[in-house]
Amino acid sequence: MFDPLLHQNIRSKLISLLITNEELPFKALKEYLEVTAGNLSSHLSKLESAGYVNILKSFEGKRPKTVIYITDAGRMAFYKYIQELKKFVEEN
Amino acid sequence: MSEKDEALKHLSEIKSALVDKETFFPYNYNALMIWGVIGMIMTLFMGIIFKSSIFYGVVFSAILMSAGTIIEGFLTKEVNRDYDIEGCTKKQKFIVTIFGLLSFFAIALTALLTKYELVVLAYPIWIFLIGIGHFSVGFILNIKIIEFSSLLKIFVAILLLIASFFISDLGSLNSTFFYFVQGITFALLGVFPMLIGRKLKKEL
Repeated sequence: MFDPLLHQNIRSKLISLLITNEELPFKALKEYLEVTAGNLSSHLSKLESAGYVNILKSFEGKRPKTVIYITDAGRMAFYKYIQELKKFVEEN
Repeated sequence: MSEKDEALKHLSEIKSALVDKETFFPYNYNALMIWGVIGMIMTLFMGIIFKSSIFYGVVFSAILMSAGTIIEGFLTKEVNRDYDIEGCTKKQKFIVTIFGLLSFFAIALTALLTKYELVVLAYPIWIFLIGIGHFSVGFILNIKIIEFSSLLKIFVAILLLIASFFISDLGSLNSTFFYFVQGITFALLGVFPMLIGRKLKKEL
């Protein structure tokens, strides 16, 4: 019934954070969500495959750098998901 | 837990993540130590310099505030680099803007108060304005200790202004009242930020 990608605690929090902050570095998301790097990568790749987020990997000198952005599709899907949750609560 | 309860719990968690003020904010708390030192220097010399020349007073304050901002900028850049952030975040911009505006206003007001032989009043006004700045920061970032200390600053500043009603000479830098006000300013704008910076640094 609900979008299975968003109906998951970590992923919905992750999208919420991206909506408030527009873009966030990988390290910041990892600290805020209190998850391991592997766990976060796994959630992010699912969201990226669905086109909900963009992951930009680059190098600054020799340092690897990863920044995550929310896409318009991600915003729309999240908005729809919230509406569905609200509707479900009202109807039950 | 029923499906409805689960949905409600999920909605509430999303709401917290969306509206929670305690969002990501990289900050190097050494900057608070620097501001503490600047607060001490300002408290000790501001009155004397402004009294000798308003122009030098303005230059002195502007140099100190700019130095603090530049040092904080370097420290922030450093901490941002750790988080792969180029430039600065919206919240960092907000903080720099609010303190820039408050400092500008405080310097202008100090110049004016000195002109009208009321330089002692500049101290509670600085305490009040910095308190307002800290209150905004503490509130936005949900840092209770900053919020609490800023309310204390605001409260003390108001008390000092009320006490000033009963003092006849607010232009003298040799009165007991001036030393009292200077001591309180030294504690609130000099010692306090250093202690808070140290505490928050330890908590990291």
